[in-house]
Amino acid sequence: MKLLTTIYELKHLESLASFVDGFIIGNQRFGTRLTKSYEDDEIFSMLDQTKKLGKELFLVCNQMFNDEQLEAFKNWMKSLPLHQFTGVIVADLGAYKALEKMGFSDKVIYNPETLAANVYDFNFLSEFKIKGVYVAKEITLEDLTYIANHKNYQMFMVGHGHLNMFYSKRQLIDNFMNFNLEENIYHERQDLKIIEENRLNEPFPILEDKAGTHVFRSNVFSSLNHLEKLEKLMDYLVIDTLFKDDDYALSVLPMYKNKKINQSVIDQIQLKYDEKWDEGFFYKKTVYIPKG
Amino acid sequence: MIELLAPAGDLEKLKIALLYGADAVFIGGQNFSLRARASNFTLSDILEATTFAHERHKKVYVTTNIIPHNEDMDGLIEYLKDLEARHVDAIISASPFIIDMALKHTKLEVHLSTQQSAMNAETVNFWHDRGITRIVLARELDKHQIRSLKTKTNAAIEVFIHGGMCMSYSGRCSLSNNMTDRDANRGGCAHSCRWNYDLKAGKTSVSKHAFSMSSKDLEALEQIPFFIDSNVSSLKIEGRMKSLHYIATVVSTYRTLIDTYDQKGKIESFEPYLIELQKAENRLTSHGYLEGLPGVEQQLYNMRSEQPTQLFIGLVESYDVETQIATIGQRNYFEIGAEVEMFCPDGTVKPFKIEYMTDIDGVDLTVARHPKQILKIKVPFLVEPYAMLRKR
Repeated sequence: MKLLTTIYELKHLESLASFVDGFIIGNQRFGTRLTKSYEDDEIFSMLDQTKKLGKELFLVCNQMFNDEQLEAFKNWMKSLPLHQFTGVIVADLGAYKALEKMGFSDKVIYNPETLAANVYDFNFLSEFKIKGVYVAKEITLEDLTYIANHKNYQMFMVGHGHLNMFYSKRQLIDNFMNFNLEENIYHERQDLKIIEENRLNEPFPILEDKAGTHVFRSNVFSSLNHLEKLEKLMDYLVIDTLFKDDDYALSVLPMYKNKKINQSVIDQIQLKYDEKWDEGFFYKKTVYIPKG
Repeated sequence: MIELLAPAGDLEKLKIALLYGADAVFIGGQNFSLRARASNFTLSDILEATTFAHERHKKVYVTTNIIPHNEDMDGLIEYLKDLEARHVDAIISASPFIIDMALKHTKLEVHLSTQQSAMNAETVNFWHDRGITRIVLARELDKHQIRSLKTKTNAAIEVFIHGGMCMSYSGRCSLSNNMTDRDANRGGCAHSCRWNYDLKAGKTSVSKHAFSMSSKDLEALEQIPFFIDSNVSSLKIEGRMKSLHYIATVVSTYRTLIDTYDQKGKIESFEPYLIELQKAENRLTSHGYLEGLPGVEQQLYNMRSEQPTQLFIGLVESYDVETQIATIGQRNYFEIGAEVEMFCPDGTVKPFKIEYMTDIDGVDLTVARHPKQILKIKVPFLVEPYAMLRKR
């Protein structure tokens, strides 16, 4: 199992590289929920540096695209040395088709968020020789194990971070500030939370970026307690540091790298970043209305 | 001619939708369907539904649009064969598993659910190449993008024109899963996006007002001619849990608009259609994404927009031509002397006054105050079953 992380600043790449096998970066024109939007020159620089360090580099282009946006995506892909990237993470099947037509099927990692929730749907792109698929976040560890044992390509999952649970194309914070007749100074700010009146202890991070508005789980998902098992199942485990910083990654990653839990480190992290950790849906089944 | 597609939460609503002008209805079966709280159809109901529809040269589509987990996959092929045996015209699905099993094991036509959020021609053609005949597009496209997309595909295109809006890209939301343990992709959506929240920057509230992601419902009267001219195949009304009167009114209004545009090639004014819609509409409406990215005017803040309508007061069950007595089921309070109108399945509206009313045993009544009570009233013209009595 390889470890990937997101990154806020290029200057931290070398220190982070000690603990991971690769990095995930993106640009806001085509990616969303990014730690930072990297411009082309920075992306080229990342390619050089990761190559020198022997690390992998993934480009995340996980927006949903209309035809016009997809055309722009194709043009951007043509302008980049795609063969130098380890993979391109997409959320839209149209983006996969565009890459396939360019001869880069084998670079595609499809991340349909909630949709790869069973063994068949996870594998449904098998015939197209893509690199991999992100498994749904909303399934149990038991379900995940079954899918992993029957996978036809590489399996990716977010192993640590605030998992997103809502993606709207609307600029919902901008609309709200308009309603308040105030300027929107909150676009792309990473310190926003929404609190529901009956869930006062569950502040949900919310982010408005160019692609829309996103809401995330209150607790940080952690898979630290299951690394031995995941090692046998997963091809890539992603540490998503959105809403944190590179120091956060430097604190968390050694535990994932060494598969060694350090409770005092965990306590310090949780105190510093005012966060709680949980195991998401690993042991929590969601309700399916009973069959007739 | 373009198809008008309506929701139906039960057999009565299905009949109403078809009689009031829908060309097709979509319904949920008891397995593999979202909107689990709608009164979903048994296999026996589905056979009755297809029989009723096909006698009128209309169609019935069954939603099999959950995203199953591993444990939910058993029994699918048998269920799909059951639907095929009951002459269902198509299924609406999002899961590749359900789609592929239907295409492999049955001759059912398959439509791609909006749960897959198809936004571009590449995606639409991917699914079309896989054997899917019709694609229900994502709601996040404007009308020009829809027209342009249609020029790049041979797939039939279905678009939403009326009803509730998912705030997230459909199918990719797990707010409900996380906040209530109810899986939105398996029929349990709790509509958490419509709740009130406090938006905070750091520790400070951004506003004294509650933050909500809730949207006004979609309404697309003015876009209908554009869609007809764009070679769109089907116009979809949302709302399997809506009332009989809502379905009849919304369907009839769009039916009249489509037919008028078909006959005259233009719509002089949308105002009469809007007025008619408002007789049933109990939420504020907007054009959603159809005219561009929704702004503040399309949102709902600090309010529930439902405005219960008391206009619908009775549903006709039968009519005796000789005595001019109609048997109706009461739906809202009314009195002798009330000025009312009969809203008929062909879209006509005929005014009259309630001058005579008895209960089922012939006892004279001056007021109708009991819901679903069977009443007999005098109606001075021929009416058919399923006509609706409304206050004026």
